[in-house]
Amino acid sequence: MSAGLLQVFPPIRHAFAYGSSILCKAPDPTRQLDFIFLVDSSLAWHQANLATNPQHYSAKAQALGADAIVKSASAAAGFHYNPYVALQGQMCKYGVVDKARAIADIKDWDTFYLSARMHKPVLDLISDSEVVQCQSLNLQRAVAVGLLTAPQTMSEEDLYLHISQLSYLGDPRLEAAGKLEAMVADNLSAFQQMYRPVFHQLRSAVGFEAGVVEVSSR
Amino acid sequence: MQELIALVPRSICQRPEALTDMGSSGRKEVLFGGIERLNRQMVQRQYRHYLKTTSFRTIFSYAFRKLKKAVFSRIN
Repeated sequence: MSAGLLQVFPPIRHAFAYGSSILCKAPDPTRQLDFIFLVDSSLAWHQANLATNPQHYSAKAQALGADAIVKSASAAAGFHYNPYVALQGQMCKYGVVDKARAIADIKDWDTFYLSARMHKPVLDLISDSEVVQCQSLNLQRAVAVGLLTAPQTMSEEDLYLHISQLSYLGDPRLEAAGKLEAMVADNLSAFQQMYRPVFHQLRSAVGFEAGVVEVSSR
Repeated sequence: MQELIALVPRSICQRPEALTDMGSSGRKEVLFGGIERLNRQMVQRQYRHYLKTTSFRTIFSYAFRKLKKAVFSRIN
């Protein structure tokens, strides 16, 4: 998967693929690939995208127009998703959000919609330095909340599972219990690459040794 | 512990400093409660947006696929 896939779209600041289609060892081939695009102005972006890719939008969304789409999305978490879009023969779903709104969520968990998705490994296709920088704070918060709501000492893998479960609290679309365990086990090295630098950044508060994470007593 | 508490976002706990005086089960209850509330609110709002901007046919085909998956997973 490469950024070339995104050439059909108006300019995007930051883009990544996420979800089970990239995290499962044996993804369901009928399942869509999930993408999130961060853009400078979702209004201008949808206006341009409606002109170049109108078939990506439902008839209802096309009739409503960019203004109404963005206004309605803003009252929610700021995302408008276009599902069942064929990109180079692959069915995809993409969500578009203003970069400023996304940054607020990544930094402060305003909606916990994007920030929670970024607690699990994602595949960056286009990187924005500001987003990458904010992601470090997002992961620090995830480790802090994970440790404050878990047993005093736990294995590194259990902490990743615990953090991954946070995004499903209160969500009726809760994933099957065994699915998250398998997802963490299958992607352990990707989780380690994400979180081990965070353990180091928080070394005065977090003890990490031999695969065990704990709240430091120092 | 203080450093971790300082990292708790105010969106899930308006007074993170109050967590200091709580036991681990109290902290868990407050933080899980805050995340649950936020998640539920955002999922509901996103669904509302989805219903406003999506054709009936797409909603129906999505619901049908979910139902089919649920039925087959029970059978298997």
